[in-house]
Amino acid sequence: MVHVSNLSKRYGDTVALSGISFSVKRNEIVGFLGPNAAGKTTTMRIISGFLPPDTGYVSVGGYRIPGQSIEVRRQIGYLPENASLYTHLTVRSYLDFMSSIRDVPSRTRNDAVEMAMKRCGISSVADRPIRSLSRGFRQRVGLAQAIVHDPPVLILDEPTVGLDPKQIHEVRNLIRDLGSSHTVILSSHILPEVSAVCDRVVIIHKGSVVAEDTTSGLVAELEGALPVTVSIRGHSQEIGAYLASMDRVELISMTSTDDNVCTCKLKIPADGHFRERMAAEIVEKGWGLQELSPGGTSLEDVFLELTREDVT
Amino acid sequence: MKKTGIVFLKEFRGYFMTPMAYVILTVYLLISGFFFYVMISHFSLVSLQMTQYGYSPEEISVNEMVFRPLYLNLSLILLMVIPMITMKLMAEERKSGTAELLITAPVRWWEIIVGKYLAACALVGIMTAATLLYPVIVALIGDVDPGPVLTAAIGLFLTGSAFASFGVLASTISENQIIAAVMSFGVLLLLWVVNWATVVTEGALSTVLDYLSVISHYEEFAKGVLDSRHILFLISLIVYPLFLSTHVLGLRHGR
Repeated sequence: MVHVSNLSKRYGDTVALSGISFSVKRNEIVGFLGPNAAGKTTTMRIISGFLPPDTGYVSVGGYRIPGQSIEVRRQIGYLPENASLYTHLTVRSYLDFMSSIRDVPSRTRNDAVEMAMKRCGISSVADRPIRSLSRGFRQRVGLAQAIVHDPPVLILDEPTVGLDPKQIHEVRNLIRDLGSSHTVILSSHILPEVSAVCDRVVIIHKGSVVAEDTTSGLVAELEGALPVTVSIRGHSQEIGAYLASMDRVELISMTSTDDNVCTCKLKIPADGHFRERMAAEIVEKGWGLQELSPGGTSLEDVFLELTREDVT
Repeated sequence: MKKTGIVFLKEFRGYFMTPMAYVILTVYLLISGFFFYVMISHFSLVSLQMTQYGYSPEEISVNEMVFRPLYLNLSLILLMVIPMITMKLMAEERKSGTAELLITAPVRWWEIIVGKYLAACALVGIMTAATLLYPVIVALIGDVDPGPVLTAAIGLFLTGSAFASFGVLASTISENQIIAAVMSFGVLLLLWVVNWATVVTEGALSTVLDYLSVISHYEEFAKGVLDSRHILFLISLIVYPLFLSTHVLGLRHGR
């Protein structure tokens, strides 16, 4: 449905994107993940037709940018980062304007506006001027304008910014709901959000795609490469010696507290039984095993691992 | 084409939802009323002298003595007011970020530019129409030749529309409203006075400079002449900046 091919973009001397490519299938929710200034917003602006790419192209539903910008824009509902709205208008008149400019025919326009307001939970403020609304409400008005014309593709740039936890939950449900009949690309730097909502994740860093996989696939790929944490009560020198003597184990850090508890970070082989055997050995030696946890199988660790600045 | 209407309505309503339109109309009517008062007073003084002494130093004509200079002055007020009307049209949206949603809607660039431009023109139209009140007042108590007044009003509207077109271009180029206003004011003033240079130039250059000057065309309207050459000149001053503005959007946002 959405195909991004080799996009690059510079702002003066700053390279924002250097050859980004990825594809999104119909009715798939893809999370676009990256640290700040990774190029997420630039990519979304290019897909939505706000910025022309320097090289490469975007195709949406068979139409291409550059060249068929207006046809592409017709397919898209876009929520920019910190969406700016016409604050002097009321919510209803704003959505009415946005739907008319987005080709919603006048006879169905009222229904479309009502529906969008209902889905985003802003019906109660329909006749209030946008400038009098809180940030959370404004964000949801922004979301409402993105879906008011029922576009096949939704581009949402940080859709949950500025919302409280309850609203975040509602918006995530809404996005999941929309995902069953829409193709959704959402960007975020909040990892739980992406793992909660998205089918697939594209991680970008410094203007390039560094990983692209399903959420669980990415985690599996990096498991093993990530450290485990062990807390053991016992004599710290003995523990240190024991850990150092083990085969295929790399000791990353070790701290000990006054009551003889050592907390160590270790890299161990990605063999499933290794942790079990290690636990058994520690107990056998008469030490107290307080914690043995895989330090990284969350998306957060994958993310940090992939976007780590290489120290040279 | 339909989108032009939608953008136009949004902008035109926008003028009246903020104090903008009211302030500008008030200031404009205040100044034009002041001019009208001074000129009509002068006219009545001269007429009074004529009835007393039986002769007049000038030819007595309300069209020549009141409305011709009045409309010339009004166009100068427009020169100063229009950059303030147009400065926000594109610049404000870019600065505040609302442009992002307007641009990513399926609208053609010219539809945005023309819609916004027409909103400014509508305001110029209201301002021009309001000035027709003065000849109506005079016509109630005396004789006014409506022809020259109407051509002057048409000229005023067309000139104002040409000014607005430059204003839209400036507002498209700069996202700073003040810079947009200063740019359009500067260019318009230059276009206004460019024929002053004919004093020191000669030949073809002199002809070209005189032709480029807005005032030498507008004066013909104020005299009561409705000549297609002058109309065409002003229309080309409208079309070209709008074309450039559309091009600027195309460069900035792609095709």
